Amino acid sequence: MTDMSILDDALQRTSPEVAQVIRKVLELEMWRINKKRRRILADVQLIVEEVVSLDQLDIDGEERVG
Amino acid sequence: MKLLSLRLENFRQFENQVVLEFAHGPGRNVTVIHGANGSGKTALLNAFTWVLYGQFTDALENPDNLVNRRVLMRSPVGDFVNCAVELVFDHDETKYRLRRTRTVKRTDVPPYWELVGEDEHVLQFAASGGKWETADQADISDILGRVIPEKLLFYFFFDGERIGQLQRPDKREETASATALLTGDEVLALTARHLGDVAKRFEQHLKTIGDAETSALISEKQEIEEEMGSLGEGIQQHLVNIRGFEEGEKAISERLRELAETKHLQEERDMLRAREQDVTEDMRSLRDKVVNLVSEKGYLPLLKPAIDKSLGIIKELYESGKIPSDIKKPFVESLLQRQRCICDRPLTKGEPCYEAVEQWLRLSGMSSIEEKAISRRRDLQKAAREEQNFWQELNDLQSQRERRKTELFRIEERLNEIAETLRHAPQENIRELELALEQNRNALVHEAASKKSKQDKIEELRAKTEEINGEIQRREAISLEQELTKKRIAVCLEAKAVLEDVRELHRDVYRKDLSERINKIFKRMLFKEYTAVLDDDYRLEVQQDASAVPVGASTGENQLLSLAFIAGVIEQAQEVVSRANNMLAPNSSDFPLVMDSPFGQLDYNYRGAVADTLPSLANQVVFLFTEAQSDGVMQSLEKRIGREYVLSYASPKEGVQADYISCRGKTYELVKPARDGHEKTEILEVI
Repeated sequence: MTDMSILDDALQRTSPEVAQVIRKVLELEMWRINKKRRRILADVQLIVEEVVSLDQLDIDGEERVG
Repeated sequence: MKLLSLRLENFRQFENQVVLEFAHGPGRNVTVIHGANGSGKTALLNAFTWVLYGQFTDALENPDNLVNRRVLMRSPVGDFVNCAVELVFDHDETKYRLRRTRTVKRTDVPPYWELVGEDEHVLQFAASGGKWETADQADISDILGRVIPEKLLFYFFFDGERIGQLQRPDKREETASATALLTGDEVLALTARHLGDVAKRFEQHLKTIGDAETSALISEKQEIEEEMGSLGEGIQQHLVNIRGFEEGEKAISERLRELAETKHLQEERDMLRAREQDVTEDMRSLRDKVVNLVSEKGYLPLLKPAIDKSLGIIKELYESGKIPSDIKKPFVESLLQRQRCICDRPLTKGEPCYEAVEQWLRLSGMSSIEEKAISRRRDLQKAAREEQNFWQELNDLQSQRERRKTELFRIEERLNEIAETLRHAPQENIRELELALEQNRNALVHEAASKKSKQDKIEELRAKTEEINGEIQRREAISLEQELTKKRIAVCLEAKAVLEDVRELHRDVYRKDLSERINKIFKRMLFKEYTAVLDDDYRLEVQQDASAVPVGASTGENQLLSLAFIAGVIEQAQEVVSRANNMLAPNSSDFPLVMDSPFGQLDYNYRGAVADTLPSLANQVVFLFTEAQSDGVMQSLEKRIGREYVLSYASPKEGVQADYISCRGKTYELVKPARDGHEKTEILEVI
């Protein structure tokens, strides 16, 4: 069984920011299952906002390299 | 979770305080508790489920009556009486003490008590310095969820006589979801779902800050998603109906298999249905192969005229003697440069000799053409061979499909004949069964078709939403905020899609793995040539080894199947949890098994096999059984027993006979008459 390799393979094939969002939200969900916390959507939204933030975009709306 | 001790205070049959300690060593991990019927074995099992999650098994009669009757009746009217259960356990290197207390007030009318407030639930953990620290009330369920998820409670604390219920169709969703929890599937599903929900939040925001066209696109998408939601609900209902009809078909077929007059026909029908499934599957696979072949090599027949023409040109060059050429261009050039022929005559420009040699130069130029022609001819001949192979392969596949089609036709013909025979059987009950089977099958086909049509519609709508997503992304942003929001939506949707793909692969890998584990454990306990299969739909089935035909398993065999399932789940969870880079599953691989009457329906032969198998799979096992149920297992368990108890029961029944049990050379009172008309159980440790 190679559950993590299935996930790792998929993360390597996608863009770095999508991979980062997935990793962070998975961690949050795992923690939440253990903790049974509410406010999950707000927390997921915060993660996406943090990963995809204004400093990644140039003034003209172009994405920065790196 | 490692169980250390259980303290009962005025709980059911257990008056005052009694304490049990559990074996948990690596070699001796089994605790055995002997008790007569009614002595409190089920109450003990329920003490665990109550203290953990306030839940009870179906087997516990009058679950509200928790306070010991004798203590209650002795208390003056108006007094408060408590009952409590306290469980001490280890988890992840921390010791915990969990206590649940119920308080009732004594009244003078039946049932002579009334509830006073809510149960008190207290969890303490051993802090540094060896002191107990009390966890916040709000954190109790969080901590317990990490120790043993509530969904899994009845997989680890169960009533053996009712264990077959785990396989009930209405429990299947629960089963799938519980096993998924241990392998991380649930985390993947939740993550994907929440990312989709957050994408919707961003879309809603974009609707308010974007241009009119973008808002209109989002509104359209939201309407489509609503329609997809209601179609999804419809599909769920069809799935429930389909399962019901499948169970119905199974039950009727089983009945026909039992009747002497129809046994051989029904068995033949079973074989034919299994073969029909295989042949249909083969046909599907052959069709896929044809599609792949055509998409990979279907261009070859279209190239055929060009191949033939090119080969013709090369052939003509050979036939006309233009190729092959024996004279190489560099050699002729060196002769002309040296101005001397190979026969040593001088070569002077303008002279006939020079012109004759120069003529060879033109001819020698053909050598490069020759090289190209050779290589091209090789390629063309290869392509021509491939084209021939393509037709050959295609014809082979088509004729295989034809053969399957003919076989399928024969199978269907024979199935119709069998149905016709049973429909016109002289016995009315057989005719009725066949009619019911036919109606059931028609309903099944109808449900499957309706489900398919809804699924197709959902696919169509999903494609439409993806189209809209693309359009939203393509629209030029009128502000930085709009651009950012669009980007966030795109990231959420991409992440969701990635997780859905991962989940599909993940789920399949784990289900197959679990199926193999269950089968291995099942075969270790069962002495028949049967195979246990966990299908795509998390349906557990027993099949005959050779034919893969489903078997109508006996109650005992179904119980073994359920035990194998639980053991398989534990084994898989232990492996998942033990992985160093485990990110998706819980954080402890210690799982106890507490089983009331685990060998209830099993034949003598199978009891030993179960007793051998389970303690080697679970970290800790607590068996609660009667003397009769322990018959045939104590020898197998002997080497693993670390603690052993006898529930000594004072029965209020009139004329009850005293009963005794002999353990390790000593005799213990199992049942005795109650002196004051109230039942009472004492716990005696076997030493």
